[in-house]
Amino acid sequence: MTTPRDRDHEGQDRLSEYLDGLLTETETRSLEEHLRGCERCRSVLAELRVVVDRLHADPTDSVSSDAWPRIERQLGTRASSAPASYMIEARTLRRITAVASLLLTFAGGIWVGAVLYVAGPQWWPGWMHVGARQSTARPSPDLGSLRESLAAVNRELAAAETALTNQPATPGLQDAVQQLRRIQLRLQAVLDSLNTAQRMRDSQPATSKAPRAGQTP
Amino acid sequence: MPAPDPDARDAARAARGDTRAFERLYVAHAARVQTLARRMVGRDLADDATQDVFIHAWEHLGQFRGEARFGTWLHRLAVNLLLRRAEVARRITARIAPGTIEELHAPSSSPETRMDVDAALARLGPGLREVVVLHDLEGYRHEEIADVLAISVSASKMRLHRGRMLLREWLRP
Repeated sequence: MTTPRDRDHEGQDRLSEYLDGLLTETETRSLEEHLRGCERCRSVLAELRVVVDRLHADPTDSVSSDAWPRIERQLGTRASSAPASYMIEARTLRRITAVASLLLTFAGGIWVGAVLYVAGPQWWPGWMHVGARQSTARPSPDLGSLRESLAAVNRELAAAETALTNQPATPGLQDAVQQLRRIQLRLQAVLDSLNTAQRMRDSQPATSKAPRAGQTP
Repeated sequence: MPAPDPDARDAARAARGDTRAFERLYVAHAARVQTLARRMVGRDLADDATQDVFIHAWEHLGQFRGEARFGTWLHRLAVNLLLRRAEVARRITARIAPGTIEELHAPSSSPETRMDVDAALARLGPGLREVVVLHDLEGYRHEEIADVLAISVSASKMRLHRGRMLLREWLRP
């Protein structure tokens, strides 16, 4: 049965939340008011602080030097079964080839855009200046989409390369791998160029970032 | 803009079967996984559990999409695997000899002797240990714990407090 005295200490259940700063302002004020007059709860709170401090002081372990060779041996024995998802089927090959063709076209367009972006407004065609004047800023390629595309290419390439290792005679697979490798290199180069351009642009004064109206090659 | 993931390239290479790239990932993350394993399943099982985590990660590298950092993905994979392992161990022990878990986890020293953190964590009951480890040792928020353990946020808070109150008794100097 709950006695009036127990009810006095009901706030004790929330001491951890108080310790972690998770109570609302009102709850905090109410608990602190109780703590001021309750030695028992103050004592529990102090002990909980000690517990948390001891847990936080728990060190990170070191790893024994023979651990990796043991794991590596397991990787070797499981190599054929591990990438089960990489075993290629006819429809997977069709998907890889389709993705490769699509991305090759896409990456070509991005490549031209990125080169122009890095080169600067003096090399832009007229229609880009019109768009830039309207937006008062450089047309910024979507870095997020490019990264996602690169991740997608990496995944497809991983699947295709592993499948090629396991089933080298699969017709069309060699071409798909080569296409994907070209796209991967191209996308990576575009991303690197854009990152460099972005850094250079960020380091320039704000007034020089927007293209000047009427600037021609 | 978030900093690029330093492990992304090695993760992609490892996914294509490059064991040297996977070794670099292992070197970068093994200590953290080993520590997590020791806290979740105990020192005796930590080495085997760490090995299992990395083999499991190798087998599932194709699922790493780069949406989170590789270290975050690996840690979450390790937590899920270790939770399953701890649960299986508990069920087996309970089936062989109900009540044995508490005996096994009871402190071997006298109550006056200061118990170390490992022994105290091992003594925490099912459900409490995971929450204490994830919150106080691995820095998870209650929302994340609720997600991993499929419990409510308030249950996570309650378990953390109960766990700390028990540890307060056992870790008292």
